[in-house]
Amino acid sequence: MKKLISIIILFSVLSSFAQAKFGMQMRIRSEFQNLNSTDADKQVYDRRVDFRFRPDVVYTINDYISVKAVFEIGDIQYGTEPSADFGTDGINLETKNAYIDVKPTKNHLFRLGLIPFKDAHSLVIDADVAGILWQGSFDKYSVELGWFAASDNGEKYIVDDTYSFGTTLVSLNQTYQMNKSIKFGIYNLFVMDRFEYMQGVNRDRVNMFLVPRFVGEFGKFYVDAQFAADNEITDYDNVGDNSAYTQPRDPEKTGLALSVKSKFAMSDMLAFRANLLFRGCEESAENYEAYRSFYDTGLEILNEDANGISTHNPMNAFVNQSGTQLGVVVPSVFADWKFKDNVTFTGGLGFVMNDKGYEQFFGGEKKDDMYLAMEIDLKAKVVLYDKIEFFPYMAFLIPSDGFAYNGIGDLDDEGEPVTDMQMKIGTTVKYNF
Amino acid sequence: MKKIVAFVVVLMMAISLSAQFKTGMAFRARAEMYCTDENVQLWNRVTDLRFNPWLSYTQNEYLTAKAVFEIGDIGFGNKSQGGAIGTDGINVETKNLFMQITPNKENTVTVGLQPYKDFHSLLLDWDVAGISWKNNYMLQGKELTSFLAWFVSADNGETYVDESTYSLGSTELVADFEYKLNDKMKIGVNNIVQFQREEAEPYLMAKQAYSVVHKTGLNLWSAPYFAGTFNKFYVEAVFAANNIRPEYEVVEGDGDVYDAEGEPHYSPEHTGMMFSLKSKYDINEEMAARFNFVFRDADTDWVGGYDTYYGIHSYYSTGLEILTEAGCGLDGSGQVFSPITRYGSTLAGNAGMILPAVFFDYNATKMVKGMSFINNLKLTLGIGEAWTAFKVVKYTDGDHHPTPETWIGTEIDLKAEVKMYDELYVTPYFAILFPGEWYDYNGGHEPFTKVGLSLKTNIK
Repeated sequence: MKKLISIIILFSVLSSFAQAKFGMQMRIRSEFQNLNSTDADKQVYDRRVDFRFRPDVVYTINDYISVKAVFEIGDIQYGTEPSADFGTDGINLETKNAYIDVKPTKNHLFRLGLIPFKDAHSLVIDADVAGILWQGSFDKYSVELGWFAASDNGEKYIVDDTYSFGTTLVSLNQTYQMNKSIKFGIYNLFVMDRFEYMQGVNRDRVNMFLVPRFVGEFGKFYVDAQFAADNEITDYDNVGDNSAYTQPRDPEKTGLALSVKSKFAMSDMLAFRANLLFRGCEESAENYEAYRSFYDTGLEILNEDANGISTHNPMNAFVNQSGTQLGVVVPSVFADWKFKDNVTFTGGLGFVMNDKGYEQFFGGEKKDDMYLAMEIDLKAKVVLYDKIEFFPYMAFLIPSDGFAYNGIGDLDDEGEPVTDMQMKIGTTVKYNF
Repeated sequence: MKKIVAFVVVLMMAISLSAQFKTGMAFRARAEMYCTDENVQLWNRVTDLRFNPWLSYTQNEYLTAKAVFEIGDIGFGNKSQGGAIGTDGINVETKNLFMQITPNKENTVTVGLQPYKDFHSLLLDWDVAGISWKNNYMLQGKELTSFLAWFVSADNGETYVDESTYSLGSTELVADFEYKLNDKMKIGVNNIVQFQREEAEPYLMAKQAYSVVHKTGLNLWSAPYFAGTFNKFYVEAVFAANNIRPEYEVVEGDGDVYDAEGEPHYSPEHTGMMFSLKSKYDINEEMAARFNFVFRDADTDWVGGYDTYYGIHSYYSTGLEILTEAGCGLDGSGQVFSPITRYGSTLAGNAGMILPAVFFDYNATKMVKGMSFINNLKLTLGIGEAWTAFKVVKYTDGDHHPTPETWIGTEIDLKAEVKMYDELYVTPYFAILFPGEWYDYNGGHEPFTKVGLSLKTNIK
């Protein structure tokens, strides 16, 4: 009993010094890939190892106030200057997040500083950004309201007024938990940007993202779907009466996107997942363009947020001959086999295609192929010592002619598409201290 | 009894374990909209952040090491400062990094990058590399504190010139003393001797275009001060003087050194003076009045104008928000008007400054007693009036019409200092400076304005 009391006292004394907590995330990626070309004669087998550390510190003053800072040391590639070549000594400690939390009640939080911020599927924004955020929780309803300064390019006095240049974001995220199984949400992001188009002429651009979301869990089936619409309005204002200015084409446009992620747990050992990404348009070439997405399709090559290093990004890599983005659809299915408690194998199959036939001319012929490529993945998740996570993977991409017409695949000397297979093999290791 | 023994043992163990390593962080955020452009009404909008994490290791009662870092100042949306979307700025700076040796409780020796400031931050208020020794000595039953230091503020290496090695840079010797006359009064003095050698611009200073000319300076600062409490009245006053003695020497090549008027043997020894007074009178438990006063001398010689006071790196607070070096808002160039370095130029001479300011502080905590998260609320009204110490001929913009100037402006500040949640200090403020003839001899100049909010907390 006395020992117990002593231990309790010890912990109570130590807890008075527990205001500072330190932690660190570590990630090492090694990869071997030839995504640079679809021509086997030109493919370069690129080998790369990089690592990243994210040390963090949290200070808690009292029940109401805490401060957190997250640093990033990386991404340091083995053997590259200036950080990881012979001699190391790179100046590479970056400030990723640094913010203060003020929590007046348990249901409300105000956060100020460099804040990590994302929508549910990272379909619109997933970035660290300076600003202020309020999170409120009211029974089944929760809300997040944020104001962020994405860029600040200063102020300028033009004629009789001050104009502020840069990009400001206003974000509103609302969620309603309808019942135990169903949750609805709606996310709005307003992007307000002012840019000096030419001397004395301001370009004001507003992007309005409207993103409803549905999450449902019905027995063994789980689905999370997010739809996104982006309406972009641009206005030019000749505040300095520049006589050389002529009005550009009215570039108002709308883009649409859909992300669906679903899972069906057949048993404790086996689960199937099906994902879908649609990024397209309402009309013409008005494709959906995210503000700063970091979208995960679940695949290893056709992805923006894969385990490995190199990818073909479905959010912005598919373009026509003039560099304009083309819409894509990426359906994919996965089978997860839980071999042991700490070992899960995954097989994945995915496709990428255009959301419609885009007419382009190659060698004098009209091409409007929609089908672009197929991807096959084999990967595993292995957890060792409870904490270290290994993600070995192999991924193969089999392109079609359309892959070249979308600006990624190669054309031969006669202008015909080359469709040799691409692949990547690698391992990612993660550890949270 | 056993419980008590167990408790004491465990407590001692816990304290001894935790006392070796301590950490903390200071946080500051400032958001401000200001218009201080002399020519147009340009409204700048800035929000910035600064974090100061620190680590302290205590090896034993004699040896301590401390490191203070600074992450900032990060302007919201500012890419070069790491505040734009994506963040990842390389902006972790080493602010202080020193080792303290305490052979006994009367003596402390500090080696490394350390903070230093004089009594009113008139001479030097900065972080600097060097070694310092602080000693407490009982003189006639009263405490005499001495602080002796050797600092290296700049080391620009050595050059071999004409069969000799010259060391370029600046070194400072500091000798500060403070003596407590009694519980309510103390006197002291801050002294700094600066040894300076730098390569002067030869095309200005020497007859021969490619001669190497060194400026060797022996610069002195001395600032005696007094602080005393007399019932409800508190006062502190500093008189600061500097004596700058540059010597120009042609160390390589031929030729003489000339001054700007073409006279040989350019050696502009100059002296400056400054007086700073800060006082407070507690009218009652809720109300206090403060009176601050600044005088900086002037030199109206339009060619040189050197005989005026300036510090090595001052960071002086007048208590105001615009006519100051250290307000609670943004304090960069164009964000505050320094009473020590501003109001003069080589073409106009140095005008100096006379700046009285009065403040009324009202403790309004009782008015917000229903708001439990507010621990303390102080409202402040400040009024300051600035004149040049002498009339100087200033060339106005555009027409180059020489105009004598005396009245710089009148500043009015409104400020609230709120302490919330025990440790969070929030300070909204509004400051407006009505410009005088200095800014617009013909009148009609728009006022300079700042409105902002400062947020601070200090975690130990």
